[in-house]
Amino acid sequence: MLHLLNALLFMAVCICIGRALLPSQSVVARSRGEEFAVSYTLGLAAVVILCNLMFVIGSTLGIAVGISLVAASAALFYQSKRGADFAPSPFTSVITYALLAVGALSLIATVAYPINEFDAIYHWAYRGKVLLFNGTPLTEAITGIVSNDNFGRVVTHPNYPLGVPIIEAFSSYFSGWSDRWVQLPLGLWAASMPWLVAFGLRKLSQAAIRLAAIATAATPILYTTNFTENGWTDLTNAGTSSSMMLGGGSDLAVMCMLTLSAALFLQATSSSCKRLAICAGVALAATAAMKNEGLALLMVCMIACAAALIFKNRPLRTIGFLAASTIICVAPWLGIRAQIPAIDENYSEQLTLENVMHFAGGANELVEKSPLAMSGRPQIDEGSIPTRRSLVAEAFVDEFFDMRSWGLLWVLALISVGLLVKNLESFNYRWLTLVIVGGVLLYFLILLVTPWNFPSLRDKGIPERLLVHLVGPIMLLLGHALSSIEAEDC
Amino acid sequence: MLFTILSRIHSLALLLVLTFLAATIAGAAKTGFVPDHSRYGAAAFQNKQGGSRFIVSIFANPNGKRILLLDNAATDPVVPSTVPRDIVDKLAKALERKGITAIHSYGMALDEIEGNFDAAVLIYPSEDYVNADFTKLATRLEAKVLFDYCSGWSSADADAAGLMHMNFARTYWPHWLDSEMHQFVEYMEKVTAAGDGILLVPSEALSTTAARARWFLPLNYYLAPRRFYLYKPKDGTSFLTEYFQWVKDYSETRPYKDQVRMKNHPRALSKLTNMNTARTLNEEELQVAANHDVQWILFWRHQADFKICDFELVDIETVLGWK
Repeated sequence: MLHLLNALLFMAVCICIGRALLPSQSVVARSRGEEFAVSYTLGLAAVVILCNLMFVIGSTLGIAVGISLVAASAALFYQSKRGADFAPSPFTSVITYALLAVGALSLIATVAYPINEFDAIYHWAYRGKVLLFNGTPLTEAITGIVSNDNFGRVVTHPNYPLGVPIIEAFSSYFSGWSDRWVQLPLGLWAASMPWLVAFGLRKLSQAAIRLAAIATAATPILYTTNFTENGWTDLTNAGTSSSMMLGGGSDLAVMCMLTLSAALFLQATSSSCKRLAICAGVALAATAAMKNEGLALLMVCMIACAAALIFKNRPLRTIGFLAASTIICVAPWLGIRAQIPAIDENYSEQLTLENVMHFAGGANELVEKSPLAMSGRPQIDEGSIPTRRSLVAEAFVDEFFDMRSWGLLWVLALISVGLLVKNLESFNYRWLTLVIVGGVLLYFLILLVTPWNFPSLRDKGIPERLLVHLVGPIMLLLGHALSSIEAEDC
Repeated sequence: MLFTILSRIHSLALLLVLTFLAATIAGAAKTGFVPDHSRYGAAAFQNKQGGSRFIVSIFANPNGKRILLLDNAATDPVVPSTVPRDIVDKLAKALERKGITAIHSYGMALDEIEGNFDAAVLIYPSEDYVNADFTKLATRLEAKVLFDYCSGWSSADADAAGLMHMNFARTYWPHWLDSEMHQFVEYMEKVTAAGDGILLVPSEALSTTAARARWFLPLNYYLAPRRFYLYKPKDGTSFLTEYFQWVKDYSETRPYKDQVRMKNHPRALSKLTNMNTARTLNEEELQVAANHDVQWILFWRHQADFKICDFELVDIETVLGWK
């Protein structure tokens, strides 16, 4: 019971802080559901960044928890003075109840079992325990993987970011660790998505908002991949395989933070609100604090901002605030990362022009040395090893047409991107298009130069686990596209 | 218009989503919201030739040995994980070629089977066979060995009766759901203090590259904040390719060479004294223990199936006393 209460306390702290960070309803109107989803995810982003800041200056989780509690109390007081009349919901009551039901089920499914996946246990929850027991990531428990005597601490991928571990450690700070309840705050990623999308599209037509929000909630990969691929077995084993996206992993966290950032940024540009732009920067920095790919996505968003400026309607001031707050908020994590051994995943080392040219030029796939990784796969004929680029391209195409995981998401994305020609004057349309195209290209490049055997990565659910990060921007673009078509029809 | 229709068609996937969520929650409820092996695929014996070499290899001279094959009669109900009849026949024939007598039980209750044997093989995981009284069984097995082709027996229960249990079936549940591993975690929680340092020392060459054999991962997680130290963890905890290299590297380095196995050291949990993994440490390992303020040495045998007989925790003073 105490574990559940601790997790609920963390969620309450996030909501209080997030609500206070948002501008008043008179500046940007939002419904009750949007307010809850945006406040929760924004507050969570702020807490993650605060914790990273504490760690980098040599402080501990306990201090960060204390500051968060004080900040939440102050935020509660501030909010009570500010008052709030919620804007009407863009959804009918049937849609609202349907979205709430799906959200509630996804939350229950998340905590139905204690943490029960390899990555969730060893990559994320272990770090959560380190933060809980040691108070900081800058401790031998993580940095001690390398030492001079060939022996070191047992830790996987030491330089993975601390977003999810921070959430888990905070959620168990007063109660002690619980493999089940530390997942509770993570159970709201998928549930928040339709409301975040609705918030990002608030100034567009209600029909477009509804359709985009429902389409978001209906995207299977927010919950699982390849469900029903093995027929009825998938029904009886549902929730037990690594195809489960809900739970203690971090891909949905990246997706949710990127969606939040994009939604806030779109609202910031359309209402010229610097406060929203700063909040968008906080969320974008939190994207980088969830998974290493988040840092690369942050750069894609920034490059997209710069590239989208080439046509008219240039929200320079808003972009400036976004960039400034992003850089300030991501700095603590970069400071921590610089002190942790970069093992396994070091994109900055891999993503060199030489490497890209090597594989883009038709270099062969790397030979997998591990017989275990090769079990169940056809024997490799050394004379006809496929090129890496062909394998990666094939995997991407497979994903785009994998209806079980994505529904028609990529078809809708393609049409929406194509409609850019009709929406060139809209900065938001241009930016979203560039983020999506840039994101797909980024992941293609990353997988093109990865130092691992690509078929082995494919077995682990790559690239779908990366592409899911882009669901939010795709749905926001879909909303814009639907709205633009509607306007034309009128 | 078409675009809007496509968006609506996409939204129909909500039915798939709801089915998944309902199935996940219902499935979890069925096991009391605690994951167990029943939620995963049934274990399967994958050696198409019958795997006679596993049995033959434990005898210096297999000729004349008697092996009890706990199999089913043709009329017995099919139970998941049952080894197919054609494979059982191949196994029996291969054993006979080596001079071993294979005695089929054909579903007969264990208590009704007469005679003594050298070892038993679980082929048919019926309730009677799976819940065998190991103490009684141990008195009837000369070599004190159980071969499990269905992953049906508890190695901890077998160990308690002084039986060596070897599972050869492939299991599909994740390694962190291994009950014997959790039993060992409970033991270590009682014996060690939260901040203790524990040096992981393989007692011999690493004999498998199976990813499941990396028991140091769950031990490290479940026993945090205890400090576990491993040989080249950068490779041992990494992707399968690096881990494969790590296994090769350790076995080629042979740090266990010239070390003495401490078979007389009293075992904490296991009753299998001849399987003791404790050994003396070489100079480098002793230096590592000193460098990292280690209080305990956890000796282990690298196997895909967690068996308590493969692990022995010894305090550092005792280990230093062996040198």
